[in-house]
Amino acid sequence: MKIAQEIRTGNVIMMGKDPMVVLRAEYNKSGRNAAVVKMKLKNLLNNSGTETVFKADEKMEVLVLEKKEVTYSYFADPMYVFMDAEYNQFEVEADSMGDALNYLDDAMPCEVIFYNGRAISVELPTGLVREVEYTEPAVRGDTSGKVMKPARVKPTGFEVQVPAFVEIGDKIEIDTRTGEYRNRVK
Amino acid sequence: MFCQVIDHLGDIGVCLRLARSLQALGDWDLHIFCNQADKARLLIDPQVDRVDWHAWPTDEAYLQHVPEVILCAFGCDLPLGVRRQLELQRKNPALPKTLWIHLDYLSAEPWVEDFHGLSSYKPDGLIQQFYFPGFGEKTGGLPGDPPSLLPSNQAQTSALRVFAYVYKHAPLMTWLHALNLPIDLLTTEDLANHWQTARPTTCVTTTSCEQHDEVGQARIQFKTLAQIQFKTLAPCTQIAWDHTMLSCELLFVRGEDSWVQAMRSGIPWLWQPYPQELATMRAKLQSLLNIMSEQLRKYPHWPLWRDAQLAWGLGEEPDLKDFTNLCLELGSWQAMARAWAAYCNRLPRLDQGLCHMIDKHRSALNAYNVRLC
Repeated sequence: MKIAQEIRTGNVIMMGKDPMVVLRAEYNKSGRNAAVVKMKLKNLLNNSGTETVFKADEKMEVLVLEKKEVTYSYFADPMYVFMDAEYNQFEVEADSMGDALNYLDDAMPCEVIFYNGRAISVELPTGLVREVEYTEPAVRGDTSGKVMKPARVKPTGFEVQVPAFVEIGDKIEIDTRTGEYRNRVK
Repeated sequence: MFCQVIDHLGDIGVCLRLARSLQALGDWDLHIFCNQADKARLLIDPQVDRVDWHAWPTDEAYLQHVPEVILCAFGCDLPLGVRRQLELQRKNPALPKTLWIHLDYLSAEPWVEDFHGLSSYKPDGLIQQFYFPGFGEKTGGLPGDPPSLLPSNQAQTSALRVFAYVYKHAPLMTWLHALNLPIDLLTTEDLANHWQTARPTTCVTTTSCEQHDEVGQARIQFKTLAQIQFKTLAPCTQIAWDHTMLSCELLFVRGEDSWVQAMRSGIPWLWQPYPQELATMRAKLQSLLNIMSEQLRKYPHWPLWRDAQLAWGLGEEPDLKDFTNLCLELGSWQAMARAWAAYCNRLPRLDQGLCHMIDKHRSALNAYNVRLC
């Protein structure tokens, strides 16, 4: 069992008798240290989609599924193709990629998850380093790190909130679970 | 309604106010189950509040009748026995299904619109509807109700009349002393004692006396600390509490119930959110201030209110000169507070939104019953 806030994109949870793959999980704090998680789910038996919400501390059954280390190879519309060390190829539907699309890069290492022999989603490392493609210059005087600004990262153009001191060309580490900036990498 | 008190009576206050306004909207047989039902009875005005308060059921207890609607205030968990009753009800197709609502906290953050109204599918097959109050059109609406008695904004004495219901760590004395004005401070006994103990060297305590407030409902005690005269409120009904707030010129409020009533009142206010991680509080405050800015940016003193609210809410070092200027321009602050109150009082209401959700559930149930027949 896991609690809702520990559920990540690519996990498969049981909802009644249906296995549901998590396509997206969005965590927000409500009041008095309580939090809620909204999930976009796809039913692995009939492919129907749904959106649902949980209290962050609600327990749920997570299926332990087969995973395989792979690298991203290419996009063959509408499938994303990954390859393992033995050159086996696995296809994942675009709809099942979730937030992984924000970070996808050539030869990016990740894990493909299988349910009944079918590749159903992709799990990323919790932290990834990406180069800042564009961000506004910092305003002089604020170096506290409290003031944030948007930054576009390579190669997808995904936008991340970064501290004011981050500049174009900097490499930053992003928490792929939350999409948040972690730190600048030298 | 199920209500678990976490830190004070505000949880009860929200439920009591919601129950009162729901009863004004329809014919309800309303029961509130509360883990501090004895305290709740202090807030009830028997002439106005016709709600049955019950002690929190034990995990073994079953309700005599499974209600049409169960509302879990602030997302509290149901007692196990009641939860089991819902499971049994779900397994029997002949039984009408209860609408089970998770009522969350009020927040001005944009994500609330995306979360409001979603169903939560439980592992045991039950479904709970998540209801998020908020300021946007797509949220569940604003709690509270517009005050029936509007403030006169006429100074009754030369002293500034301040109402304070805040968390103890709030640096209220620093802020009020900076004003260098005679102040009548209406507050609760525990807060008054806290501040008087914290600042003993400047405490000039006169013999306390007691009298009734203007509406004759709240009992008030008097003590003086430098230029601040403490007027301590004895425990009173929610209605008397509201009247006392409305008789003041500046409100320092916390939590949800008093904050919402302050916003709806048209009286200048500063809000202290529940203490959480600084980033969480900042996000909540900034979202509120963004919405307020849309309404109030034309007022020249809006930046002073905005900055004071941010500093007060986050417990940051304030610019007390700016705060003093804001208080000296009380007429301008009142104009902004009235404009904000008018906006809030036009927003969709929590009670009406809940009624709408319940009406939809009833229609679906009726259609289901017709099909069964």
